[in-house]
Amino acid sequence: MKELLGLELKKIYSSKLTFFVMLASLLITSFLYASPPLSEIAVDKNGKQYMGRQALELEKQYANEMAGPLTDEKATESIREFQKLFKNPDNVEISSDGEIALKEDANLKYVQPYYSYYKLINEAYILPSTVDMTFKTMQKLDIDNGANYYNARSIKISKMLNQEYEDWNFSPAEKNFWLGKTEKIQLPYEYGYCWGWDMFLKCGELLMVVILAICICIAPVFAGEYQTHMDSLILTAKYGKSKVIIAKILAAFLFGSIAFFIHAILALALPLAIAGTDGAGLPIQIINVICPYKLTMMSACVVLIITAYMVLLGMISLTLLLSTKLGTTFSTLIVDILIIFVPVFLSISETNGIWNHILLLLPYNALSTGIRDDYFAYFSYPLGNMVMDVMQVRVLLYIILAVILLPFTVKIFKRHQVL
Amino acid sequence: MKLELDRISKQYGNKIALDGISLELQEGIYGLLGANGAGKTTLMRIICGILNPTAGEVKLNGTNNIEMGEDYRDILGYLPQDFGYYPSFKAKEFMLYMASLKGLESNYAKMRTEELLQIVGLSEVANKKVGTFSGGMKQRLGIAQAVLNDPKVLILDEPTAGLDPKERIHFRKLISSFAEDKIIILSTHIVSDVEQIADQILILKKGNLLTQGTVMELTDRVRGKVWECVIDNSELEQFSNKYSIVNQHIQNNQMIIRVVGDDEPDIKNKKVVAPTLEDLYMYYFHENEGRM
Repeated sequence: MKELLGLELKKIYSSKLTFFVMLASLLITSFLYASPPLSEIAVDKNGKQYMGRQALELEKQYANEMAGPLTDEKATESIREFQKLFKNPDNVEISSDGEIALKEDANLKYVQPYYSYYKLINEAYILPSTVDMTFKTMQKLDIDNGANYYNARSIKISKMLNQEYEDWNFSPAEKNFWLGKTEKIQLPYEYGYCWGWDMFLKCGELLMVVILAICICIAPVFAGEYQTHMDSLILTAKYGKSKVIIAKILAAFLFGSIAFFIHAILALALPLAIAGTDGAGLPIQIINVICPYKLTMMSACVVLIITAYMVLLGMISLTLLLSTKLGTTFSTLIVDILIIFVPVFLSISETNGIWNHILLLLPYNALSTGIRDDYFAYFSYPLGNMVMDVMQVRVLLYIILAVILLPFTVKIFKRHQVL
Repeated sequence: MKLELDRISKQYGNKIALDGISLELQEGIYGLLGANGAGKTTLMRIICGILNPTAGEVKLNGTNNIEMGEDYRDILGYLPQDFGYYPSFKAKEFMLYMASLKGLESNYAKMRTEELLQIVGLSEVANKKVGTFSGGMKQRLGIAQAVLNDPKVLILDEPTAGLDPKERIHFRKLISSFAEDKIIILSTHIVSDVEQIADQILILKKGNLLTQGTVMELTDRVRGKVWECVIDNSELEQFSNKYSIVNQHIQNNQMIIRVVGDDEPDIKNKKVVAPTLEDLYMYYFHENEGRM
């Protein structure tokens, strides 16, 4: 069996197709994950623009000025400082909509460098799934009795769970589930610089390139035998309908796993190498104040990699099934590509919750953590009184898919007729 | 050991590829002769268990081959008519892969691989990639893999395709040396491949088993029906349309043709000659003459 596995593995990795596809996917992955930090642009308080590493250094410097626990007191103080800016006539002007707004140089000097920090504070006071890019809410907030930052967060969570939606309303079980999760999140949040981790989380969907590349490499595992007429020899050999099928399946999973983790490590290492590894232990709530998952930036990246790996396992299983059933590498790849990329063009429905719940599980969408978006962060799947969050369902679904399809693959190859 | 084909039929849509073939094979070499499309490959695939018959069954010592599963495949060797290789595999690796598939123990597999590559004349290129091999070398490698597990039932579908005359002679010797206590079925449409080594000849035509017997028994059936005739060059086309011509050549400015048929040819200068298996083949397949 060990020998068979080794030789099946060799069949995959020694093919020219594998060589070129893997080379291309490594180059594409490198480009996709290295270009955002290298093309990052930041502007200092004097309006001077920086790019790449220098821009990131500047962002880090500004973030570090605000770094530390974001207590209620600190939030109150920061809001007070922010509001004070508007009381200095030198800083303000009347905008086109008749509102008082900061002048460009004041904005550049006092707000822009700390944008993500102020955004984190402001977000707690705005309605779920809304945006306030100029922090008007914070500007007008009454803080005479303190900002009550974490209380505002709780109110926002409550609104999120209790408001009426056209597509899907939270059941009591779902509400309890999410409240239970949010209660476990450690307060106060720790703020700091975490650009590299954040960038990786933003680009989860790009891992689809790796998954597609691996599917291309393993598409010929069974179909290739039909196409080269090796099926006659294999199926007439003693273990041609037993051990070799297992060896082929194991080889595909082993190759896929090794290739995936090489790519995933590269994808994570590149932004971290350029932007720095700072912020690994910061909570993901600093990118979405009401995010219900108790994760650090690093553990969220691990969850993303695990989810992508599970999607890969499901896709490998599906590819092997298609490879046995369709009989040609080309048709296998066409179906794979359709399954992977059609969801890219499908949009969320405003009225159909079931559609949305299915959509979020499809391979491409499953690679988006959704944690930075209020709507997607609270996606749950109730089954009676049992509730699972979207991350759990994705992992479970793709494990089930990976396991459930394999017996069909075995059966189809075993019963294959050489015509 | 007894391999039984019990009323094997195979139908593809409306086309009947095999029509109720029944055979009982014991140890020995069987030459399966038939024109292209006669059903030879279909029959061999059914014997190997990689194609299900529409009706009938294959039995080894009374047990259905599909039910035997691994036990049947364990004693089976097969060289298909048309099969590929893994171009990135070296000849030795390919043999070891096939040995693993056939369940050979690792050390024995290595020894057997070396031995067989030597026998088929590929030991010097054992570490070369199969993708660089000529058609003949690939065919020899195919033969070597078929006998790796010292099969009791060896099925060879057009095994001499791609081999040069010297290699074909070598192949015949090889098969003869393997033949003891084995059932070997060798399909071909090249009569000389089986004429000298087959114990029994099976003639398949349009999915039906026309006849079977030893070379002697079968050639006896056309004894007195084969003539060598001398004609003018200009008469060749006329006679070609009228008679089944096995062979033709020019000698001393005269055209000599070899004719087989039930009716004596209406040619003055003729003589009855001893029949060969090729004559018998033409006797049965004269309408497929062009494909010979």
